[in-house]
Amino acid sequence: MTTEHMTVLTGTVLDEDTCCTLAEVCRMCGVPADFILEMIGEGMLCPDENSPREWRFSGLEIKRIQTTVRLQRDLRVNLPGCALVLELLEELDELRRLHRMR
Amino acid sequence: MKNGAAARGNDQSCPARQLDQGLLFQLSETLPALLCNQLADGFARPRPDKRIGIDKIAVKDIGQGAADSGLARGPVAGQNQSLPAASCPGLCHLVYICIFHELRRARTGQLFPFLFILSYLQYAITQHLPSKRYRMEYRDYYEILGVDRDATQDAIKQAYRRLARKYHPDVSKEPDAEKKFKDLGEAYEVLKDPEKRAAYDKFGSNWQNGQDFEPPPNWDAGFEFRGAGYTGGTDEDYSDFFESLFGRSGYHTSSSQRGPLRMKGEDQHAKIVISLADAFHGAKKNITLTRAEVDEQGRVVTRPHNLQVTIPKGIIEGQRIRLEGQGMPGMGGGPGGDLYLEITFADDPIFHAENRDIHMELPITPWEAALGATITVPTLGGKVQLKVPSGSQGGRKLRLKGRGLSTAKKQGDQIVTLRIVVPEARTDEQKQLYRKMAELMPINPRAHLG
Repeated sequence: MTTEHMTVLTGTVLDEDTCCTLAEVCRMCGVPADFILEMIGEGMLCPDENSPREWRFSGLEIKRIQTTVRLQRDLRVNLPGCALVLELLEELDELRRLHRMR
Repeated sequence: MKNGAAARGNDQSCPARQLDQGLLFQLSETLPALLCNQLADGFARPRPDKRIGIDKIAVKDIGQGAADSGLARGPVAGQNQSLPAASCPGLCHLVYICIFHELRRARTGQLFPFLFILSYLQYAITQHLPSKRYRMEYRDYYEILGVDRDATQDAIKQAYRRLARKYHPDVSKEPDAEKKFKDLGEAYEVLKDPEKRAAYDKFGSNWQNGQDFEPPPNWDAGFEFRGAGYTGGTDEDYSDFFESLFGRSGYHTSSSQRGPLRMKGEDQHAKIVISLADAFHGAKKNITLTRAEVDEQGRVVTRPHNLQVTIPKGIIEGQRIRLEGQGMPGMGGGPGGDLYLEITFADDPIFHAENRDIHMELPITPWEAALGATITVPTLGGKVQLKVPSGSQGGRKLRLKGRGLSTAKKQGDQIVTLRIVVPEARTDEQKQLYRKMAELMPINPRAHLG
């Protein structure tokens, strides 16, 4: 029996402190910049700065983008529908969390 | 492949003219995958008077073991990973020439012509069968979608859409939601297409979901759907059952025709459950994910994927760790996808986390609450002394700074909620003490109720 050597992997924590540029987010989520612009137009993402060069996206926003991609691909939900689903999902998560703490 | 391993051990002691498991396995290692199937199906008809030392079950096991290890995709699997076997018969002939030489080299003696012809006839018969010859389970697509066999196309579409919303991995919290969602996609892929559905219906309604299954010869005669009509799933989304009936998804068909595509692998998402102590201190966790991979023969197989991952100190529930390149492998030399691990905390009997703060309830006596006390309190970092101020009421919250889930940048605290435990008055003396308290310390705790 041989012992398998495993490398310890250290990843990046995606949290509220994560600051990804538009290019990084597009690469990470496999979407074009136009897709991000549409999500911003829909109010699903709120980057602080005006210039796309200065936009920074948090871990929560990256999760939103990835969930939107899957909802569109798997359930053919359009963007306003995705925005609604995301809000409801986040509210549902919060309610589940509160329910579990009781 | 334990039978194979056992057989390998017999190689050295194998008599020259005896075709036994060891020799068979030796052959199967030197020949293309075809031989494994042929040995399992064609050669496993021992004639004891000819001294063929083959145990039928053992040989079948070798064939199955080879199939399990990815060898038995089909007659030309070793040579061409993407074209179906029947599409390159010339190559199959070459394979048979190899078999010819190998059998002769193995000195199978007078059995040689018999074995070779039998093997070739077997191939001639089976080349029109689906290339996957290992055991698979029947999938009842109607049951998966929860519709009757005579359901209309509209009813099938509605059932799929309803269940897809229910089991979508982003929405559902069921542990096997992802598998159910993939099963639904596969079932819909077949039943939404009238031609595929008609071909599938030819199997009849006597099969049970999960029953061992092998499609009968020419089951798909008169239908033309192989390699076309896929809507979006990747190979990893379809079962062996689906692939054996309808081929592989269009992505690979097109890639084999137009040259290799360089493509990043798909991202993978998984949840990992860690203890609060691991989140507090940071840890290294061994995790095992089941991953669908494309093996050397181009088959999709599921393999355990073991990883050791650093859990950073102060991580909180719901946060995700991104492991770059640890998702699904890329295609055509493309980079691997990323693996996202979402953190979930295991239930803890003492603590629970709210964002970065750790909460616990501390039971205290009435006199500790009234008079004040210094009490030893557990924290995730060890025991500390907590000063309970005099005159504390039940429900009062005391904060232990920096004892929560802290990182270098952010601090979490431990919030201790006092719970006053009132001792029972069992003896007359104890009851008398309560009466004396009532007399000395009159109080109306319901004054605010009016």
